Amino acid sequence: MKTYQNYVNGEWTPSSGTREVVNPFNGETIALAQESDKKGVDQSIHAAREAFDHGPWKDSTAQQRGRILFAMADLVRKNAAMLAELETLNCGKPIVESEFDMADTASCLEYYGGLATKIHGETLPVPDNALNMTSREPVGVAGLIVPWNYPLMLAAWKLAPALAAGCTVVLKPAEQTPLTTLEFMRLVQENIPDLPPGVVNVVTGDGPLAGRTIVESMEVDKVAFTGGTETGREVLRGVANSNLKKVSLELGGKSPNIFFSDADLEAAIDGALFGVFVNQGEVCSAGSRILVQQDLFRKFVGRMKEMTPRIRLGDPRSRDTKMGPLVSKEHLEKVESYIEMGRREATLVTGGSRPSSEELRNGYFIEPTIFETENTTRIAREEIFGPVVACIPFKDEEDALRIANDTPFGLAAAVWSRDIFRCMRMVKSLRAGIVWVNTMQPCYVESPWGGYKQSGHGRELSLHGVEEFLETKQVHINLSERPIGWY
Amino acid sequence: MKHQWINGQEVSARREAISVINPANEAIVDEVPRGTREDAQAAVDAARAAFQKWRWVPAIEKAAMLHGIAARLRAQQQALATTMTLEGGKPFCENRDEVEWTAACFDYYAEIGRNSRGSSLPPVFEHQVNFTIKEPYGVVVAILPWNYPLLLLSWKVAPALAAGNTVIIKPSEETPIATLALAEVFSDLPPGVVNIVTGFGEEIGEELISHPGTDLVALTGSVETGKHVGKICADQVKKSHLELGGNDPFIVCSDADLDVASRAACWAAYLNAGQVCTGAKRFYVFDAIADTFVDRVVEFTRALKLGDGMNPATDIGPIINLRQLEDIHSRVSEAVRGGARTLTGGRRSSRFDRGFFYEPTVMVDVRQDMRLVRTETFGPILPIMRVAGIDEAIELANDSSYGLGANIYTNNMEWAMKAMERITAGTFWINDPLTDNDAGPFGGMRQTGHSRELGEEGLDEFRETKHVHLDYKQEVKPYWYPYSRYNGISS
Repeated sequence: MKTYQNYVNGEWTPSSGTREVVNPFNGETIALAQESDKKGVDQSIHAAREAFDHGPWKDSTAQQRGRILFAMADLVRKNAAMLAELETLNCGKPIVESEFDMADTASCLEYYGGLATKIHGETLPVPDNALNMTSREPVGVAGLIVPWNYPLMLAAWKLAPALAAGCTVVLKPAEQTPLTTLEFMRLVQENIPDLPPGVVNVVTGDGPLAGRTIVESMEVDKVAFTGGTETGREVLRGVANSNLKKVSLELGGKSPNIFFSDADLEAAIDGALFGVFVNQGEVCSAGSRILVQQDLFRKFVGRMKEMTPRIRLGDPRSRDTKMGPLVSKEHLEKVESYIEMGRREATLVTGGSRPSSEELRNGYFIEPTIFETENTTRIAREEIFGPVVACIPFKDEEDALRIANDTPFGLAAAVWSRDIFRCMRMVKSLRAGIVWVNTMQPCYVESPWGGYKQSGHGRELSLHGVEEFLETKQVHINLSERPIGWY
Repeated sequence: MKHQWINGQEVSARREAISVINPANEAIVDEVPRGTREDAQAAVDAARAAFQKWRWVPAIEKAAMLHGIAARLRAQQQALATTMTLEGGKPFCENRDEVEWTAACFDYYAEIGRNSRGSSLPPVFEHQVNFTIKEPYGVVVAILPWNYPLLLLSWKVAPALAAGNTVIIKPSEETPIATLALAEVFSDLPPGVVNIVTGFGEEIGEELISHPGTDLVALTGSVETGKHVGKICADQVKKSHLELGGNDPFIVCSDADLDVASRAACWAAYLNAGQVCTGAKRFYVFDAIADTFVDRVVEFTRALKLGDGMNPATDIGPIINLRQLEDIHSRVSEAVRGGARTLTGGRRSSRFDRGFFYEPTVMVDVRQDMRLVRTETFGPILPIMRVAGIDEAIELANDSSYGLGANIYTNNMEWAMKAMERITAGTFWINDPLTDNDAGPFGGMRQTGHSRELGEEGLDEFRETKHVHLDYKQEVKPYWYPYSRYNGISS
């Protein structure tokens, strides 16, 4: 069995212990990775600090950084089949979805490779004989903490803008799913000699120890975190208690997917199911609250139930599989506890159990699960992060809006209707960072991603994404040589 | 008689004056100087001299002066609007609004001029610094039409001044009086920063455009005039900024609220007696609701009051002059001979002994190949063509050499978005015709023009970019001579 080490200062380096990395389809251990202690993480932070402060990276030009990102994109494309297979093996998502993830990963690296040369400051007209301008500079050492649902893709969402900006990084993949990130680093090490040592460091380990070390480090200038809202709160506390580093957070959601009676029914059902069951529902922007106008509600939920058997559970390596296992036994148990809660406080429409087939017995599978409920129940208020949806009826537009916004989260929302006035009114009033109309889930590297309210701070992707890794320096050049004559 | 205003001083006519006629009663409102080539040269000299100082005035001081212009415009709103109605015929309430929009435009550019100057760029090699600064062109010539004399002036003059240019304004000979009255509004500016000359295009206008001392010509006018100005500028490689005609389509879909859409159609067609570049001039109505739509439009049109713009009951004023009125009528008559039917209007009003009044006109059985709809008809005409659905409407809307604006009335998202994406136009209005926004760029595609006014883009039309490249390490570059020692760029 393969044992992976941390990648520190351009070298593979062991830390204090190891952790088993498990295939969620059968519970078997597929590799060992480092369970880094504080010392191991600090070592990688020092490497990044040294590379930022004294290495050649700080004098690198935008063209050079761009070329490195283009080379990374190229590596992901060339090795997409291997990386997709490994992603599926490690996190359980259907192979078809892993293939999409690899294409998106490459596209993200490439986008920021191109953007590196377009990061502009401004020249400003100040009311004096002077030249005044701003210069955009990297924020410094960036700690990147990545979740397990889209392991390599979400690593790229952070790594690519950080490198484009000129930061050095310590990247920590989720302890459950480090393999694609580690393999990616191996490819980079073997193929991109221009990347100076210490610019990209990868450490593995859990949140409470390894993650916390990054968050509370006095040498890290910025932390970019994707994960649950409660962990996000911990990150903010750690930042406040250490060096007030810059922080961006992409946290949980309970995103409403809102259907008015005039929507095209077949497209709507399709969008409702895809919106919440893609990637086993392990999606921050999952449409986990389905709001349906009262007169359509019964028919809509009935039709969803009819369609659910088409979501084929199975070996995620099979191209016919539509839903794989959840990422871990621990996560499966958490999702099941919500389903139990739902059985007590809501009406179960379909699903709710582990599948009975022999083939899936050892995997962390749960059936796609639909509840009818009100917006006040816990299954309608808390993020479950699994294939469990709360269907809620509403009377009219005002009611839909009230229910949609009655949540501590504000990541995404979708509205389905053919009435452009209504759609635009809803778009304006929904308190969410992403609003889709007549679709749900498309995500583009060109457009910003992130949430209102307790769904996060800041934005990833697009021009907004690179802003999170930049500082602004105001430069004021006095053009008058005579004394100001104050005294 | 009003005087021209050059270098901060009143300049009287060197020869006979031009009489300005009130199109509502054909009385002489006032006389203005018929400016000469010498007047144009004096204005260019004044603007050139003033430019050397004005360009260096800090943006914050320019902003204060632009705000001052806005304040004085508002203080003179009644007087200016009255003059505009007397010389241009437009209803007083429309002119009162125009003065406010004009003031708002100066306020808008006062601040944007302070906010942006250029950008700093990522250098290609270390120890280099790159940035851009935006600089004014120099002397801007603003040539204006008679339909919105002050508003269209502000769209050019406010950004031109904010960017650091000096300006020579030439209003239309039909409507120069309110513009000359602006000498007082601009009086706080240093002399020569704004100059106002009057006269005929082929005399003083031609001199301003072809004078080597002017750097940019901004024109709002017809396609013919635009081509002429463009050719003169091309010869000198002078920047021209052309805002020309329009022939905007107006689509009414089957799901539209016809009470709203029929009133919107009348306003969009008859506003300022149809003498608006973004007026709706071709109506494409879904077959399914065409009969009802036509009935409502005819009923509403018949209730409109034609008359002197100073009368508060007037909805539609006169046409600017007899030549324009005859042009409108010849287009209508030609369409009728070709098979079109006039449901109301279709003639010069017989209710008035004097003035150039044309009845608001609804026409059906109109065909796309009629001159009435193929080229811009600048009058209160509402020609209706039936279409089977959205695809035909889009196809006919695009069958034009113009591309200024386009309108649609619908709640249907698919129709609205499809039409928005497919129709070639600089502005697309959904359920709200002809509304401007100082922050939203205004201008046309195809032969309507090649620039934008308003918004940040409207400021950039009056600035050019200087790229500054600085190397803080003086060194002999490896790629200089002799090449015998040069091995190529390392990556």
